[in-house]
Amino acid sequence: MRRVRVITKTPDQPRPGVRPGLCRHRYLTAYYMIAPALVLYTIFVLYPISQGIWLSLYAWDGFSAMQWAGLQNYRFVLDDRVFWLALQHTLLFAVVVTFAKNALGLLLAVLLNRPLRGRALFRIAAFLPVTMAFVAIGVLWSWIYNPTFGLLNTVLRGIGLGALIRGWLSDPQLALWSIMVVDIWKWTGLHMLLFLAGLQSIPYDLYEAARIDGATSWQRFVQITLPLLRQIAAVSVTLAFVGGLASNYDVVYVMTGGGPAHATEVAPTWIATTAFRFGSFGKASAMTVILFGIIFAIAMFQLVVLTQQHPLE
Amino acid sequence: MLHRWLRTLAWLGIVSVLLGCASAPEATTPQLSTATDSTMIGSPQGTPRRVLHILGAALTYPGEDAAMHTTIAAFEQTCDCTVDARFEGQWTEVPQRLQAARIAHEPVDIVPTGANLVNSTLARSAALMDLTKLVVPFQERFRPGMLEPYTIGGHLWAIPFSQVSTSAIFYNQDLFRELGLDAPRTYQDLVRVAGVIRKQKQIIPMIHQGKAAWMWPMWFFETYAQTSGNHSVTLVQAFLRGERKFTNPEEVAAFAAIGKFTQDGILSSDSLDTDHDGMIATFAQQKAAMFYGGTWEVANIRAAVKTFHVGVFEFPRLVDDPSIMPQHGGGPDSALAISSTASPENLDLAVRFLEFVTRKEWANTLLSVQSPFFASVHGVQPTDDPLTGDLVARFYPHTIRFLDWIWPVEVNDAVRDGIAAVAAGTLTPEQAAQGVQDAYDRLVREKGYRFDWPSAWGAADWARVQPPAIPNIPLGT
Repeated sequence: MRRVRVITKTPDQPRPGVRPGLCRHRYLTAYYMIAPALVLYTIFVLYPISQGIWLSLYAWDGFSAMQWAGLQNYRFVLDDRVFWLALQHTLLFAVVVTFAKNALGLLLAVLLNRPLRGRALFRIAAFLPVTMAFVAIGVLWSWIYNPTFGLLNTVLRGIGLGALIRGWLSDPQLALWSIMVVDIWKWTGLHMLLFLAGLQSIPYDLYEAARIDGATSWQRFVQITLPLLRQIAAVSVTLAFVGGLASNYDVVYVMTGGGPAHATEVAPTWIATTAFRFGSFGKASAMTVILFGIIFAIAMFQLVVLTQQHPLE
Repeated sequence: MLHRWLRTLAWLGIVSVLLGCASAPEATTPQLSTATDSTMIGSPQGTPRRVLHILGAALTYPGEDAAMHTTIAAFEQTCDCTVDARFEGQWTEVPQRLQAARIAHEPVDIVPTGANLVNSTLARSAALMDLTKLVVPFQERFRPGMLEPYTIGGHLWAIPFSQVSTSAIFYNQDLFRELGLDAPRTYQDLVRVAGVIRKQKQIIPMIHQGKAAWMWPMWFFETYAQTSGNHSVTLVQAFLRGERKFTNPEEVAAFAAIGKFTQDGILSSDSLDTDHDGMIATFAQQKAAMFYGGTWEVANIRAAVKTFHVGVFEFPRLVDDPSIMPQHGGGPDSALAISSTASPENLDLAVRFLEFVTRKEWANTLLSVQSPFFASVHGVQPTDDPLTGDLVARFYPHTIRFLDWIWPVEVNDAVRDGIAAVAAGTLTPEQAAQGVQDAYDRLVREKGYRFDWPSAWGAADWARVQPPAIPNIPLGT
C-alpha cells in the first residue's frame, strides 16, 4: 500500500513581514486570558501542594502544635510495609484500568462511530455511568457483589454457574480485581467519548484514498485510525493512568475500606488512614509527596512518549 | 487599543475572582466568620443570643433524631441560647471531623463521642477539656463505676451518656426449636449446632458485620479473655507499658481460636463483605441463624425482625479449664465531652447542657430510644424487652472493659487486620500476633507512645485542657 502523506500547517511562526511587537502582544493577550485560571490554579493547586511538602517536614496530630521533624517522616514511610503494599496495589490498579478503559473505550467508539440503529441511545447508555457519583456507584456495586443478596451470585446460581460464586469483595485474592471492574465500568464511557471525538475529526478522504489503494479495513484501522488518534490516546491514557493512581480513594473506601486485611489498600486510602485515623499528618504528607513524585514522573514520561509526532500528523 | 481593553478586562476578572473567594464564606455563613460572631447570632428582638456548637456522629438508633431535637428545643428555652448541632458521619470519624473543624477554625463546644475514641485518641491529643471539676455539682447522677472508663490519670474527660452495653450472640429461637437445638454453651456445641443448621437449612450459621472494621477486634476480646485466663485487661495494660510482648501463647491462641470459627464453618468468608445493615437483613430474612453483637443491637433487631423470636446466648466457652469463664466487652459506650478549644464565653452553656441532658426527664427522652437494660445515668427507665432477663442476670456480671478502650487505634487496627487475615487464611495466628507487636513498636518509635501519658504531661500540656473557670450553673432534677 502506498503511504498517505498529508501536509499540514507548520507550527505558529512569525510570518515574513509581520512585526515582532505584534507577535509579543499576541502572547501577552494569551497570558491575560489565562491569568484568572492561573490565579485559581495557584490558589487551589500549587499552594496546597507546597503546603503538603512543608507539612511533610513536621510531626503533627491535627490537634497539637506542629513540631519540626525534618526528613524523619520520609524515613517512617520507607519503613511502612502497608504503604508500599498499597503503592503496589495502586500501580496494578492504574495499569489494569488504564489498559481496560482505553481498549474498551476505543472498541466502543469504533463500534458506535458506524451507522447503527439507535446509536445515540447506545452512546448515552455507555456514557451514563460517568455521570454518577462514585459513592452511589460504590454502594450499588457493593450490593451487586453482596455474597448473600447480591445480583451477581444470584444470576450465577440461576444460570447454573454456581461453581463460579465467590466472595467478590471478601476474598483477598479477588477483591481488588472486583473494584477494578467497577472503576472500568464507570469510566469507559468517558474514554469512548474522547475516542469518538478523535474518530470524527479524521478526514474521510484518507479512508477513501486508502480504500482506492486496496487497503483492508484492518489496514485502514492500523495505518490511519490509530496513528491519527495518537494525540487523543495520549490524553486518554494519561487521564486514565493518573486517575488510576490518584483518584481511586472513594470507590475503595466505599466498597471495602481497604480491606480485607489491606488486600484492597491503595495509596490514597492508606494516606487518609494515616492522616485522619492515626493522626500522623506529617507522615501522611510525606506519603503524598512520594505519590505525587511518582505520578508526576510517570505522567511526564507518558506525555513525552505518546505525543511524539507521527508522519501522518 | 484592543490590547488595553483586554488587559483591563483580564485584571477585572482576576480582581472579581479574588473578591469572590474572599467574600463567599462571609455571605453564606456570617456566624462563622469571626470568633465573636461564632458564639452569637441576632435574636428576633435584636439582642444577641449565644450559640452552643455541638459536633457529633450521625444518630443511628430509631427515634434518636427526634429525641435529640426535642431535648435541644427544651434546652434552648431554658438557656436563652441557640444550639447549632451537627450530627454527621460515623462515630469512628469524630476525631477527623474535630480536626477538620479546628483547621477550619469552626467553633465546637460539645463533642458527643465514645469511650473508645476518648481513650485511644482524643484525651491524649489534648482535644478534650478536663471535666473533673466541672461535673462535680451533678456527678451523683451517674451510676457507680460509670465514670471510670472516661477517667484517665485521675482526670475525667467525658461524661458517660448511653446504655451500658455487653456483648452476646443473638439467634433465631424459632429455628433452633424447629431443629431441636439448644443454645450452645461450649465451642463444641456451637460447631455441632452450625453443622446442623448448614445441613438442614442450607443457610449461613452465623453472620458477622466484617465490613465494620471496629467489630472484628470484639471477637479477639472474647477469645483473648479466655485464652488469657480472664486476665486480658491486665495483660494488655502490661503490653502497652512495654512489659510484655504480644507474641506470647495467650495472644496467638486467641487469634487461632478466631481462625477456627471459619475453619469449622461457623463463620463464612461472606462475613468479610457484610456491613451492619447487611448483617441485620441477613438475620431478619432468616438467611443466617445467629450473629454476634451486643445490647446496642436490641433496638435494631426489634425494628427489623418481625417473624420469629430472638434469643441470646453468651460467647461459648473455648477452654476446658472450668475456672475460666467467658467474659465480654461492655460498658457505657457513648459520652459527651467538651472540646478543649470550646469558646470560654460558652463554657457555662456547655456545662449547663451536660447537666440538662442528665436530668431524669431528658436522660429518659434521649436514652430510652436505645432500649437500655440499664443506663449510665440514674433514673432511666430500663427496657422491658424479653431479653432483659438473660442479659442482665447472666451476662452483665461477666462484662469487662472493651480492650479498644485501652489500647490505641493503631494497635486496634493491627488486631483487626490480623483477625481478618487469619479468618481468610492469609496469615497464621503467629504472624497476626507479630503484626500487632510491630504496630506497637512502630507507634513507640514514630510517636513516642506512652501508656501512662498523663504522668508524662507537663504544665503546658495540662494548661491546654484545663477549663478557664468553673461556672456556677443552675441544677435541675
